[in-house]
Amino acid sequence: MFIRIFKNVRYIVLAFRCNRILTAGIILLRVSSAILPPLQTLAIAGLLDALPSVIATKNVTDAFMRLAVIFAVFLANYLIQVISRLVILRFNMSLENKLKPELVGKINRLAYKHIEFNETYDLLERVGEDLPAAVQNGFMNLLDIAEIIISITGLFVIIGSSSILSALACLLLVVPVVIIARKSGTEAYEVSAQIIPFARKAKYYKYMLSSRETALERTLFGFSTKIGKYWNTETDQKIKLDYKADKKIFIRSKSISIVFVLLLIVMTLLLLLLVKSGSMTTGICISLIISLSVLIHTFSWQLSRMLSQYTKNELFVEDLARVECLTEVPESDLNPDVRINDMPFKSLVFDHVSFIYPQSEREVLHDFSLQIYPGKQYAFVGRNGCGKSTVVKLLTGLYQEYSGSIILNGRDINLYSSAERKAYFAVLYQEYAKYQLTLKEQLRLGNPDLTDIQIDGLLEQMGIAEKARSLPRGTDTPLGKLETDSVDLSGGQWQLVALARSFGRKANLFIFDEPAAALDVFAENQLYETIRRYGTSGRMTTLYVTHRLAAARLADEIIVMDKGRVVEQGTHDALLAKRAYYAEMFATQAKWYREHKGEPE
Amino acid sequence: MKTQRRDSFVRLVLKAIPQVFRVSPKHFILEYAFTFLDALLLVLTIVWLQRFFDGIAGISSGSVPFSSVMMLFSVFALLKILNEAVDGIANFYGEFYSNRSKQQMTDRLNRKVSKLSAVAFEDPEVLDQINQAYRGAYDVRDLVHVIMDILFLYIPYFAFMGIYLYRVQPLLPLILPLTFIPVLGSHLLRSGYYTRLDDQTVTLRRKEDHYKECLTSRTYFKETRVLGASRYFLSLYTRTFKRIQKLRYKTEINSLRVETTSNVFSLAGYTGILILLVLLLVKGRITIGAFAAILAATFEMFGLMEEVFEGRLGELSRSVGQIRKYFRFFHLPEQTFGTIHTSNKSDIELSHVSFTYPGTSKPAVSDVSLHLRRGETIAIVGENGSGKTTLSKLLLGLYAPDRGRVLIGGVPLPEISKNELYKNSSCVFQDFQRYQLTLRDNVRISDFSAQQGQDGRIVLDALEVAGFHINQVQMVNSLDTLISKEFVGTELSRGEWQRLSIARAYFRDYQLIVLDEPTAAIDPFEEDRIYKDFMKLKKDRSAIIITHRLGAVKMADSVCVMREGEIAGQGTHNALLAKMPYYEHLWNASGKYMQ
Repeated sequence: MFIRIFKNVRYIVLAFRCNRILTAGIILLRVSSAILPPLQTLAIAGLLDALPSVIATKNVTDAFMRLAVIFAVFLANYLIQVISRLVILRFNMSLENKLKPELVGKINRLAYKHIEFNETYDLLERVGEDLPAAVQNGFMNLLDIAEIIISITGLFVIIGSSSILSALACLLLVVPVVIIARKSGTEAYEVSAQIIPFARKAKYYKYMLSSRETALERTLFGFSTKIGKYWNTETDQKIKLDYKADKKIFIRSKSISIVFVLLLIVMTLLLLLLVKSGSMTTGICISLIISLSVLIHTFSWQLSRMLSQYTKNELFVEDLARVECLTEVPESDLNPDVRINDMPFKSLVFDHVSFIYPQSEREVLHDFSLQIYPGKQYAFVGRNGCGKSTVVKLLTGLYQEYSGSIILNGRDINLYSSAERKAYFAVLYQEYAKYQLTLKEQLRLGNPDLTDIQIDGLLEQMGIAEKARSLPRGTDTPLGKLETDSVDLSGGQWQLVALARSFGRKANLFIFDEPAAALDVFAENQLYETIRRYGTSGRMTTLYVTHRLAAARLADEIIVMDKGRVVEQGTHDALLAKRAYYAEMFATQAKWYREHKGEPE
Repeated sequence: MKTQRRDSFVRLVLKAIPQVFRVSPKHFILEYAFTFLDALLLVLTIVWLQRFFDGIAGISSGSVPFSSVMMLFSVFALLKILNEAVDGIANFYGEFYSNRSKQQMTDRLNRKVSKLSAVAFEDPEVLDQINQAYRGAYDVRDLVHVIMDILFLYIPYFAFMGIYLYRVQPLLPLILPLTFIPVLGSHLLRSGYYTRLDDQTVTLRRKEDHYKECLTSRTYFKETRVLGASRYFLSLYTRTFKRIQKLRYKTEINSLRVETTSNVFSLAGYTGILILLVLLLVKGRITIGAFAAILAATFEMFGLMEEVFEGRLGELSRSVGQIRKYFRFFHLPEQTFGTIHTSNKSDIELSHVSFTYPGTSKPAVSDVSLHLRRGETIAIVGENGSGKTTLSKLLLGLYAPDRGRVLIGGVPLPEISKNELYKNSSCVFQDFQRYQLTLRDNVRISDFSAQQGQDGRIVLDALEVAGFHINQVQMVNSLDTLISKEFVGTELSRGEWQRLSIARAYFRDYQLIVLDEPTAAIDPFEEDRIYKDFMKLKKDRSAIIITHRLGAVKMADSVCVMREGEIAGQGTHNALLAKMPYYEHLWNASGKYMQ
């Protein structure tokens, strides 16, 4: 229980970290607004007590004096509400300003393995959804609970001023209520957790029934009726659980109400006895009964809701703590350090490198050794899962937990800073990013110093200059779908823009990881020819990974990989002459195209 | 399309109530009977409170015996308990009913969606309508609930209260308007603010999401990191959310201003009521008990009014648009069918067929004529965007042409009956689906009505033929293993998924099968085998192979070359090579480095 209380203190700490003054202000306002109901009770009591004499003497002034007190309490309440709204608005802004960039920055600096691992990725999505709102809710939830406690204490103080013993007796009665409420809160949360899998499945079936992606198979195969049934089954289950949970919550919160009504009965009895004995005034007694019956209602519904929210908030704090524990790669968010580009590329050596992906047991790279020299074009080929893409991931520092060493220009690659590595290698991946920026910004993303003329030149080289000119605002046209005047490109065109961005960089080594996987064979040819032409003309060193042997053939040197190591290496002709692994692979792919007019083999 | 008149709010409510009522009339009546009882009890409690307070006031003056106060008190306690119970039961029914209603509304939508034609899903407008209709489906019951609560809780409560107040003192019902006029005014004034804010920020919010994605999502993470573009996107992200913040702040301040004004009126209302009560009391028109009870009731009424206008109607005004879209969705045209029965799919003829996707101006296929005869295999080749895939959808009858005729088994497409149109056709789609279902259902989904054989023998055969080896993959529960990365289950590689999609197509009884680029994710060794097996299995049935790796065309009886939506040539591979330079160009390009 204690550790739990501590957990949600986190929200206060976070709030204070974002803005001390506003946080303190909100707490102060909340406390003062919590003190008001007991004051109001007293003010009304004062009026009620004065009334008999007012009626007797017909002296209205006294009554109006007391009314003025009540009015003052109302006014205070009103002012506090207005100021609170304003302060909370500001508070919310300062939470956003601090937490949003902090969290996004944190996720952005994480080690890449966390992004690839489904469980952490889900966690990040959960926490990243709307952190400022979650912190605000957590903080406000604590204040809500505090407010109830203060209001109740206030009432007990009023009772206590007439009879301490009865106040203590009442206090004792509150304890079981809180325990029941706390339990019901936890239970409500547990059931809502049980519902999640059913809800997710139902959501997926709904997707199958109504999405664009599934429309063709849905129409041809006609599975709507059956999947509709599946959807109903999951939804029924969900509703049944909900029903069960509601029943529990209903019974519990109603039993809290009943306990409270009993409490009210006992308290009222006490109050009546106090009035009878003359130690309490009628006014206070009536005023207290009014306040207490308002409290019952609050307690029976809100308390269990507040506490179940409290439990949820605890879990969120745990999630948040888990995110904070994830390892970051220091300085991974720095801009490239272009000074390193002055160091000419001499060699890149993989020396007995072995690597296992986290959460896996298989060695993807096994005792992998290789040397790369300047000015040549290298192609990595091999069947799916042979480890060819992993080589790129290690080189760019996405994973660092390998054995053996990678040496760049005679120095271990880990001795270069992450900003230096970024400047030294230009990398293009299969899942290229479709940044929704203008064409110019797209290219300057890789190299901010590119002039307009250089940009036009690059687009020309990649064969998309014509397309660029046809855009409504030329290279200043936003690409994608974000703006009303955005223009979306085809898959092949996006790929060429990404390629132009890569080649526009100041890097010393150019790396392409399956860059053509999403293209048709004609666009693919064009892409590789462009890489080849641009690479040779600029005497650049390029590495590319592919499973299409036609593309590999264009390279100066082909590195054939199998089971995490290099099995063959050499030029296309040399490898064919060897009549081994590569030659066999090539034969299978080439067979279709040999000129056996007519019949397939 | 016919423009539809916008439903007025009243018409909307009149449409919604019967639908929600029908979900379960018994529960519906019970729920609102209890709600009505709740209203009655609330007022009764106040009435009793007056007597009780008068009793308490009488204790100290000694005019009322303690025992009769105790009597008054126990009735009050009983009323309280009853009130809590009734309120709880009404709420409990409400939750349950809400879930059931959402289920039925959504189910109705599911059914409607299944009747739309496949081409409708290519229309972004329709997709948008579907989305909004689903969200609307969730709100229909809430609309009805608010209206019913107003009818059966709030109005009766105020009516009973009015009667009670009138009986105490004819001047007192004046209190009632004082409690709701300020909140009502404020609600009406502010309701437009938030919709305006939504419109102002919609693009900005999309941008904010995109920049965040650039920094944190899987698709962008690697590239943003190696480019060193983190700082750039972080500043774009911060700038964008701050702009949204500023707009929101402005709206909130405006709304706060109105609220503050309305609160001043509420405050004046409170004070007015208090002064009125004191004056009446001094003049001896009401008792102290009545004074205190009415005071308590005033707090309650202000609370209730706030609940209705700020909370419930406020939420509703945000969802009315969607509810409207929910009802309008049912007017969307459905796919039409004829009455002629034909399941003969082995002979398909297209004559001068054109097809344009909704929202585009250039036809994807134009003036195409093609005849696929029984047992024939035609390969369709061409560059990306040349209309190959669209042509296959026309052949399958999934899309109806804008112009020209499609004859399936000699029957014109629009005249074929619903049950027969897709019977005996199968297809491996280019973007085949990866269903998060069991392995068995992933295959069976192509025809749930078909036999699966003893222990799923027929399902297993289809998998075997497609090269999906059940033992090699970690299928813990064999056919009943759930395949999914989202739910707890086994995940497959791209290649395995592709084989599964082929098994799916084979499982269905077919006379015509379309293979749309079926081997994109499979390595060259496997590709070879799949085509060979396909030709072996096909026997005397008709087939269409769509591919941009031209090597496979040699298996086809004839090749159809597509270029910019038109058929640029048709004939055997050798004939085309000889007479058609464009085909020769394609052939050379695709095999360029393989000879």
